[in-house]
Amino acid sequence: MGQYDCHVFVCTSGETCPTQGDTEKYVKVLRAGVQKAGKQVEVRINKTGCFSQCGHGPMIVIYPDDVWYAGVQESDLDEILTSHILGGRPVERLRYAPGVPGANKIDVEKKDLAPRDVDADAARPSSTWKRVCRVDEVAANGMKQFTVEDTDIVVVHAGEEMFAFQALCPHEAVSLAEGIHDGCVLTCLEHMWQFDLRTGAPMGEAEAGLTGYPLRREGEEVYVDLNGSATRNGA
Amino acid sequence: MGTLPPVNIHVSARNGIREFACEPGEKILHAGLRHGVELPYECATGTCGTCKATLLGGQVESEWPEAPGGRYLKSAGELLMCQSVARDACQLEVAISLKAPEPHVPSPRALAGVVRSPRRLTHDVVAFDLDLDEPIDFEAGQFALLTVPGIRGARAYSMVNFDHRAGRLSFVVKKKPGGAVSEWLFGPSVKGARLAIFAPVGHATFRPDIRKHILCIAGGSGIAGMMSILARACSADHFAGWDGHVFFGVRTARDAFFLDELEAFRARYPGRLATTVALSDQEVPPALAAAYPGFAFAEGLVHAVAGERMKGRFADIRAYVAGPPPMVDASLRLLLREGRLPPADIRYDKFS
Repeated sequence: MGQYDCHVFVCTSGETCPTQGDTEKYVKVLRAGVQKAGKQVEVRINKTGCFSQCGHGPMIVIYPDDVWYAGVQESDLDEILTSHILGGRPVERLRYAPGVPGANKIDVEKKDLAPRDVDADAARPSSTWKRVCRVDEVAANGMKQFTVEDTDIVVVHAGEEMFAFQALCPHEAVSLAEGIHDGCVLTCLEHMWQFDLRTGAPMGEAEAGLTGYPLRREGEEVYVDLNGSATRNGA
Repeated sequence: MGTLPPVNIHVSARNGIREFACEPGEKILHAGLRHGVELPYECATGTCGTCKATLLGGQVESEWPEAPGGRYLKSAGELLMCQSVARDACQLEVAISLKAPEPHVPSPRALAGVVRSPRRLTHDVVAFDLDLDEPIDFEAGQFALLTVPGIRGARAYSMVNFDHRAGRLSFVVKKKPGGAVSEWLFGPSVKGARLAIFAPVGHATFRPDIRKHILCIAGGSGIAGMMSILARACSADHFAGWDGHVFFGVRTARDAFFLDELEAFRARYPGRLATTVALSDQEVPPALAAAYPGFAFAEGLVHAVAGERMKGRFADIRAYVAGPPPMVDASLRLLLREGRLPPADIRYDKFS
């Protein structure tokens, strides 16, 4: 007999899982959900190291059911919590079934999906950088929408750093510039969808991420690379 | 009227498929919610666009094709579920995941009630009760969709009272110039009128098991839902262990109402329940401040007043916001930026 009806392991310190999602936050979300349901005695959420399945993350394993989940996105947590952890019904669509026993690492390039670019990206031809605005056209700690060659973008000014994303919220297509950011999180006020300011990744209720564009400051001028877009999505 | 059979509605969402029956003439949103399917919605009255879906098969008819929420529809196949009636079996798709229904929150249903004791609270605010044909359960902070005979479209109003198995619902309504329903409510034919009701709906709910301090920011008739929340919180003795901060904004002293009721709540928990009345367009009249010595009064917009007085006190707060859209918007900015509250602890319903 074990100590918990349901023992959940979230890889937070393996090599790739934490680079494929904010797994520390996954733990927080799951713990909060368990607490909200008053199941702290029956359910334990543990942070764990590598499952030796690198490349299939973020990964969550639940015992005693011995159910393995691969590629878990933040938007999946609610379903895992409600259906499986609290409801006892595994989420079939997320199950990991590689067909081979034991370790199963695949080589993945640990991509930095952050839309922000650094000046070091010298390989990109300079002609793909398009001027957007002057730095002071976007209020410090503010946001402003611009159109660059028919593409609508929002430029976010977060003190020292600036970021560029798609202009409209992926949820209801309202202007993100109408929302707010606090230097870490961008919130669309329409339905409170939130995004990681550094990556565009969806947070909380948001079910899709933002397409980000590499942004470069040259003196007082702001440039973006519309060809270098990256979407860090929940889907 | 012949007795047409219900039709089947099939909704595919990102996290699965749900099916439910829809009665002839019934809005698709109502049918889903009635069956415990948490279709997305906020206002439920055609303005916010949250309940949009794509029609993959079947025929629907919009009861209000010009609904302002239509601006969120991007293609001809998209519709607002709160305004759409199914003509035959329909397949719909929503672009998001359906949530599990919140535990304890009762599913809404359609019923009717009779208007009792309409009464003026101010020059442009009226209160009335609805005696229901059958009692309903609801959560504090929820609202009802009311349809007045002869006036097209439902209106959303928050319940003011809180009761288990409530046989009577209380509402307050601010008169809107040109608003058909609000003008009717101020007219002579209100008393005894029979209204169609769909209730309870809304996500800005309070339950005493949340174990947090309560912050209410209300403008004008937005105080309605807060009264229900305060009634519920007081009846459960929530403020024995948690603080309450109530900010009620009105333009001038003559626009204020429910002050006696708010004082009765406050007086039960003098050390824990703080009530502040903000006047945006008038200096605080000394007579008003003298009449309610237990309240704080301030001049300014209610969200600004709340921001000032809540500085450094946002830990463990569950916030409720209701009022005119610009006030709600400003309050959300305050709570996110200054308060750093997670969205789950900011509860509001967008209807106005």
